[in-house]
Amino acid sequence: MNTSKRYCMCIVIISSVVLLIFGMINIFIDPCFHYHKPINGLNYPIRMERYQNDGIVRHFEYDAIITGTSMCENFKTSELDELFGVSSVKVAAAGSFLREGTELINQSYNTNHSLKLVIRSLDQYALVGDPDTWAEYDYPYYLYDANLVNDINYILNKDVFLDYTCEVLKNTIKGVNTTNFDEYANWSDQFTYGRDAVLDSYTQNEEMVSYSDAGIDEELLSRNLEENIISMVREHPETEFYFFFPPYSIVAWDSYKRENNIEEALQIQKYTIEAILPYENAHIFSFYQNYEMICNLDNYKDYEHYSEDINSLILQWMYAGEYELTEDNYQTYLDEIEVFYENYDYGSIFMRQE
Amino acid sequence: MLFNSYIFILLFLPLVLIGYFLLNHYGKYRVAMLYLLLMSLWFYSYFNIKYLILILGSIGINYCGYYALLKNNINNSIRKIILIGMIIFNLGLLFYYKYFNFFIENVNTLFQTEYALRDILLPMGISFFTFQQLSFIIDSYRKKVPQYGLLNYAVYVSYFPQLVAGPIVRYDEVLPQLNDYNKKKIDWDNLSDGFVIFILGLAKKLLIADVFGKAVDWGYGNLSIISSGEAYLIMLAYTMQIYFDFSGYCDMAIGIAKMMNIELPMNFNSPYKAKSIPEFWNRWHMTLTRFLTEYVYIPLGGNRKGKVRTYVNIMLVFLVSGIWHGANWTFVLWGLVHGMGMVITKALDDTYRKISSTLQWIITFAFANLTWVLFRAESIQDAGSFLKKIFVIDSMRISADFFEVFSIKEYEFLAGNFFSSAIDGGRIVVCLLFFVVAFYLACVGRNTLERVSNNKKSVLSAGIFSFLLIWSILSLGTISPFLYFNF
Repeated sequence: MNTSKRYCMCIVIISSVVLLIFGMINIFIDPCFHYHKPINGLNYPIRMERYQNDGIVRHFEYDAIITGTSMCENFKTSELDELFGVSSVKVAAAGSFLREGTELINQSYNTNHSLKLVIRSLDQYALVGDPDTWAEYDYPYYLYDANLVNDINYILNKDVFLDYTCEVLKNTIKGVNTTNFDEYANWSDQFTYGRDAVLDSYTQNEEMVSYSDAGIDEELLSRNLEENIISMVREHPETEFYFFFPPYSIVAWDSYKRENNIEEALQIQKYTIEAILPYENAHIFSFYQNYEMICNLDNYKDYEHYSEDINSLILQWMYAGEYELTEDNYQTYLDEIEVFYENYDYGSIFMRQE
Repeated sequence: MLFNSYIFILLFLPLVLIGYFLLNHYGKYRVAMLYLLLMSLWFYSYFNIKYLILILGSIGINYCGYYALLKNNINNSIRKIILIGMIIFNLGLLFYYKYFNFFIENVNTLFQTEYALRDILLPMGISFFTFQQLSFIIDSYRKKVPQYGLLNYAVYVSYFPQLVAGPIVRYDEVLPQLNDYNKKKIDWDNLSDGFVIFILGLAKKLLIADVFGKAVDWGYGNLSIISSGEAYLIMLAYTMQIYFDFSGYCDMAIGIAKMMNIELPMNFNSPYKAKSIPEFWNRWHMTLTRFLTEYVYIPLGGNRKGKVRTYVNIMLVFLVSGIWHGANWTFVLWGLVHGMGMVITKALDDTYRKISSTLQWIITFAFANLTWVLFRAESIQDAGSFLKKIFVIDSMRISADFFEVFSIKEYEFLAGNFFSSAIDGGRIVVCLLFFVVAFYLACVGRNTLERVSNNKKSVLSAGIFSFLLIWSILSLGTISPFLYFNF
């Protein structure tokens, strides 16, 4: 055989064989659970939401889900499991809009999971966001569809191999356990809490959500609620849905007050509450009447994000039915918090303490 | 489609090669050409089916013009009209897709009007196939081009290796080769050489250019906080990035064509070894220089009308070049500055030649580096801010952020697992290594084509190229921006 021909074939064969082996290792270990659940005996790092959430909902065994934004990342599934007697997974996605959570839950149903319980945060920006949008991020779309061909992006991927696959091997050898759901995406002890931390990160003219002069887009909100929240509640009477408004700190209300947005914030809540209340298997919670908690900046690391202690409390309140909004009390709730947050002495937050 | 993608390397390229040679093997020559055309059209319209309509339309109309110009019984004024019409058509199309919004923005600024911009998608490669067809139609007017059928013409324009980013090919370079029966059977020397050239181009882009690219993006995205020291490194990084990226892409184009026994013209010849600006332009994007010389410079009179006119012509050529590169004043300025560089060098002539070689090289390399800032910056203001950091030194301190952005996954992996305490120090070493290696490859060592012609095809060499191919394919996972893509 001609030298050039042999040379060429050599390169093709060596490359094909190595790539094949490489691919097969990735498929076998499957660090993103795209094909199967974790293999017994191997220890998996779970730390990349957008890469692993979809795999988790499809392949893990559970009967309860926590999903939402960073407001949910500090929940401990061990606590949820003990309180409600379920076996849950947490698949939060920081900065996500409602569609992402909806898709995750739908995937769960589509893969024959019977869900007893779903907990979802209803973040304000997500409620008034576009119903179809996903966050601005380079999603590994190939991990979200059933298309096997584009999985080549996953299988022949150096980053997946070095970051995840190798870490599985490393963790297994070193005896580092698979990340549990208490730890997964939990950032609570990575930050400092308190007044200084919150105010450091807050610029007083910070725009939370800018509304047009016309106020909130009711049609969009309505569609968002219907497509991403209500239809699922309606279609799955066997599942108990627990929704909550994440309790942002008093500093967040300061920005609403400045932008003259308190009325709109309350309108959004009202719409949402009224859409959810008719359903027996849906519960909605809000903790804004816990003024002590909201005004205590030691609970917060910035104007919105609270510590895992608050997440724990939220679970306990949900179990006990405390702070649940009902037909009877929601209007009073809205009136009361309007009075409180409209009239709060926001200046006192920024004044130096003695 | 992109050369640096799974679908191209693992599916498209094998399909094209197998189909093309198989059809030719069974004597179905026309079918093989048709197959090549269809595959090229698939390649082009992969990202957007609308591209297909555009290119077919452009090919169709240009072919009509060419067909008319072939006829012997048309008088000269009509031929001229046809030529002008075709030039207007091609440039008009280019103007609309590429420059319309830029034009409107400037009209608005100048006349305080508020004309709306349009949502225009820039088709891939339009600058390239516009120039390519212009050269064809002009040569047809000059009665240089023999008669070719529509299939041949369509393949000439859409031939996928050079469709999106050149080299800008002349009618007499590709068509005779495609019609040469001796080239229709597999030639293993060409196939293996072409394959190796392709691999080198792929590696240059993915393993070198993209690494620099990350740091460059970071730098230009953080203009207010980078130090002078960082600015120098970023300036150098971009100089390396654009060379490895663009020449890498051209290597891939040349390699693929060579696998099919087609020789495409060289586009890069170690440009950073140039010792003068005119020499630089004989080594950088050579086919563009060739096009501009033949179809702009010489028709303007070239150097045959006295010194002053020569300088004016050079400035005009570089003005065109600047505009061609992009719809932004930064590109125009870049072109003009290069034009001035050319003119001054030619004016100094003997004086310049008396400077030591080393100094000549330094001047040229520095000039290239500084002018690339204009090329990369998003606006004249940004370019100004950046250049200010180069000329007015504030601090030579390189932040840890810079080294972190520069760092490569492979190093982070090894460091994280084997010597976690020295990560920061190691990053500095990695960065230094990259610059040194890149500098060596670009300014000292042999370029791709030189390497391949000396390739001994040993087992070791097969191992090395396999490694480069494997590692490049595995690096496709993250999306990397391709620089000359908006052309």
